Amino acid sequence: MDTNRIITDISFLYELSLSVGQSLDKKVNCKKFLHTLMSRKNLEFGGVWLRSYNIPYSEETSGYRAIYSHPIIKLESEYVSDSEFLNSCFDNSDSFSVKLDSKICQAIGFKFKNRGVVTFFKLQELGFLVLYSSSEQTWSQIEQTKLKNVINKFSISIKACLFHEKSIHDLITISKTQNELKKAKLKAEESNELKSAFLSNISHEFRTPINSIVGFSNLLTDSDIPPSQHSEFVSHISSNSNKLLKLINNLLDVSKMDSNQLVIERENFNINQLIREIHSKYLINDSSTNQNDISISIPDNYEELTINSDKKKFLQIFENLIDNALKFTSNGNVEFGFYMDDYKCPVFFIRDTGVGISKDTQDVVFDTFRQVEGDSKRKFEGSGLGLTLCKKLLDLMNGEIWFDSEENVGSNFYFRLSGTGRIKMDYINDNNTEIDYFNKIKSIEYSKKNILIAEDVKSNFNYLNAIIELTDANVIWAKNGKDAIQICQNNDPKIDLVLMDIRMPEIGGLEAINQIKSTNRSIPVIVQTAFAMANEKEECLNAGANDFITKPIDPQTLMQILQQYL
Amino acid sequence: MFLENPKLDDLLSCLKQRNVQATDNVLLLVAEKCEICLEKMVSALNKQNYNFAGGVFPKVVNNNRVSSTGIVLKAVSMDVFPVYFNTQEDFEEQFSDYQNHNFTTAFTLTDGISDSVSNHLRTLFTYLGNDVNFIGGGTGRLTTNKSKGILFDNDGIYNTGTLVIFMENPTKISASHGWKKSVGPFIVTKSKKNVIKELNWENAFDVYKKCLIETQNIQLNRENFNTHSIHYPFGIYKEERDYIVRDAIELTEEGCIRCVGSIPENSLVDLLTIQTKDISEIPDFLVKKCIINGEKTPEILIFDCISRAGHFGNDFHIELDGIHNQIQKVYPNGKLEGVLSIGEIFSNGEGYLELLNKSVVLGFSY
Repeated sequence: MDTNRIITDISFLYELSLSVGQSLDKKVNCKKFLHTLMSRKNLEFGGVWLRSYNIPYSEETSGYRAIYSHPIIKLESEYVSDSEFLNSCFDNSDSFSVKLDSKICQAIGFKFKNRGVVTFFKLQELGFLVLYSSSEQTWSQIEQTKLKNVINKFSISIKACLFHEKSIHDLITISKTQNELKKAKLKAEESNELKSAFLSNISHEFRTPINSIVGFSNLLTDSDIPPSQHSEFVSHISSNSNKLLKLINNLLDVSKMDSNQLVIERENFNINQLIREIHSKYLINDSSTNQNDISISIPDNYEELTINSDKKKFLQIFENLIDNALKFTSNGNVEFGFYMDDYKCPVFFIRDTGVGISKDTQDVVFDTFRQVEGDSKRKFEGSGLGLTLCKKLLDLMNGEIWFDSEENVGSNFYFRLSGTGRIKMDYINDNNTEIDYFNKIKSIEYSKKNILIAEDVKSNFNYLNAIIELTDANVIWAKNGKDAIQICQNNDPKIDLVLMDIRMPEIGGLEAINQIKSTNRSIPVIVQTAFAMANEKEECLNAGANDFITKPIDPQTLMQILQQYL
Repeated sequence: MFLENPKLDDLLSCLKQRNVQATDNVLLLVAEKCEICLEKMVSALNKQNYNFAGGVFPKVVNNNRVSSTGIVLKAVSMDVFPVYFNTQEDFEEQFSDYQNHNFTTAFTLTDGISDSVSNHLRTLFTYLGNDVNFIGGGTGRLTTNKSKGILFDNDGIYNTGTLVIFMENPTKISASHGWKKSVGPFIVTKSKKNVIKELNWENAFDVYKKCLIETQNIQLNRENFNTHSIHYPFGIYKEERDYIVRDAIELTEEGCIRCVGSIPENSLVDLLTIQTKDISEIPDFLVKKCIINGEKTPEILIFDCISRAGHFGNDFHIELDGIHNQIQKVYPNGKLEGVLSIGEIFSNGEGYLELLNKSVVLGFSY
């Protein structure tokens, strides 16, 4: 070999060696190396295939994938499956040079050419490299051997690229996870802070009406107080009891919703009638500390509009929103009602001229435990649950709630009971289907009726007894489940209805219902309990109870029940 | 067809006389001193609904003569619009519509002075491989302002970039240069695209200057750099093929040497030289490579390097005459037309596509 030849060979290997590892990006690395190799040796194609399982995060577990090829037009497919040819082609040597044929084309996904030479080099533990030239001359062994060391170097550089790629990917994943954890931590901390604020707030909210109830109750024991004050005190106790009840109901409903226990109970009801009732109630009950004008707005021609929805929840939403409007408005106007949208769907609204909601806090008004004014300088009372509950209830009913508000100008809250956007809600506008629950009273001879109250707590019994006494019905008291069963089995006097508590000593309510019903199926058994979860109601009904009312018992509800079952 | 320093009306009436249809495609090779305003020309050709594309070159060739003011016109049949691109993404996007066509030849005009030429050619090779022949050359203006435009098509005038016209009729293409090693090798230890910064780990100009004084007794300095460098280009060594010649066209403030076409870092280069006697065989070689026996007279196109003409001076016509005469022998009606370009593009379906310098590329389209 002459000196010039050796010099050119060395310079070629020098150039080629320095083209290796110029980047940690595997494609750029391949590009630099193959460009030098192809240009110097005047080759028409160069490609690098790696075993799929060597490629980080590859979905393929077998076969090979071309991670780089130039020109790309030469390949039919970048992925090739394992084949006998590829599995055994390096059995005898780490490189070989042969004329291109269809078998090789198929094995590496190369577009078929009926001429040319392909030279294969093994990439240690990774895959292989292929070079193509349209010349007819295969590479001599010495030509292949000359490149062996630099190809091994290239192979190691590809390995480094793969490790780098995996590391970067892992780092990104770790960084993403860290960020997510950080966010979750912040959220948890914020949630914790909110919960603490909520607890401190709610305890205050509980104590306020309880104080009034206890205080006025104590005052009532004083026999010297004049009758006019007596009635005033009773009114205070009643008003604060309602406030407390509302608070407990809200809490329970949020809790039920969080555990997916709240269900929709649909019925038909007249909107206008209900709105008027709400209005009357607020006119009577509105705290005299706020001198607000409360008015309603109902569109003309929709007097008989009846909808099919969950009346209790509708009422709850409306009342919460009105309570809020009144709470945040002093000496202003609160108006509520509904209007019909373009699709003849009622959109309910509550407008006030109160303090409004600042732009900064408008995004969080529906968040659980939030109250816009969350610090110790709170001016307005409230649990911070009202709007959350409204939103959750409306979500449950596939309805929606929204608002617009301007600080020191007022707030407008809107909601619709079903559908989002402009989707039409299901309402019934048929006068014939209207059901009047409030005025439908049937005539019953109560004096001939015997009502068994199964209740272990005396005060509760007294309360129920006081209501039922108004009807002239006879009341029998069973202090536990066992007595209740005995009385019903004796059926002397004949028991016309049982009001059954659930949590009682000796034999509990559920077992008592079971036994009573097993001996006398016709006795209506109404569960009256402080438990209020949906599954409990279901359990009672499964045990044989005819109906279910929750404590504190609303006299009107109890009367409706008596009307229904006696 | 060749027009010597035509006015715009001459060009339009020539197209009309030649019955060039609006559906035909016109290739225009314009010498840089041609007085036609490119903007007016593009506007007028668009008005007449011609499909056209072309470039501006230092000079154009008409048989055995060269002209600084003429225009060469060729009516070519092509199914698809030319592709103008500046980046791989540009090309990829436009070429995706053409992938099912069977082109024979990519007629390629590119900004010869740009440092992106090699990347553009690489892009073309990526998508076309050696399935097509490449013929073309570097456009550009040596004495007039580049901002007047160096490439154009129906969409407008461009100051840089690459324009490719795809052809479907059979072509035969050949290339040669005849340059031989004078002294070397040198290792390009530092380079960036088309600029050599270091040779053998020393300042490129210092090494080049030292070499010329030792081998040619030429005292090189900044002032006479271009006078001498035109005769001593670099040659990138390739196995089993001619050197890829790189013309040294400019000396930078830092003593770096700017070339036409890229010089890879760490590549091996020699300094080249050529004598008039070395090119005597070239015309015969080029023409014979392009002949398809039994075919009709082809359209003939030549891309000869402007700096090759600069190197040979008056002797340049010996080679051009030789090529013309060889063509006349085979095709008496054949017309040798083309350009003196800034770099040449050639691939006949074998080997790696590179920008050539100081070379002659001849193409016959049948």
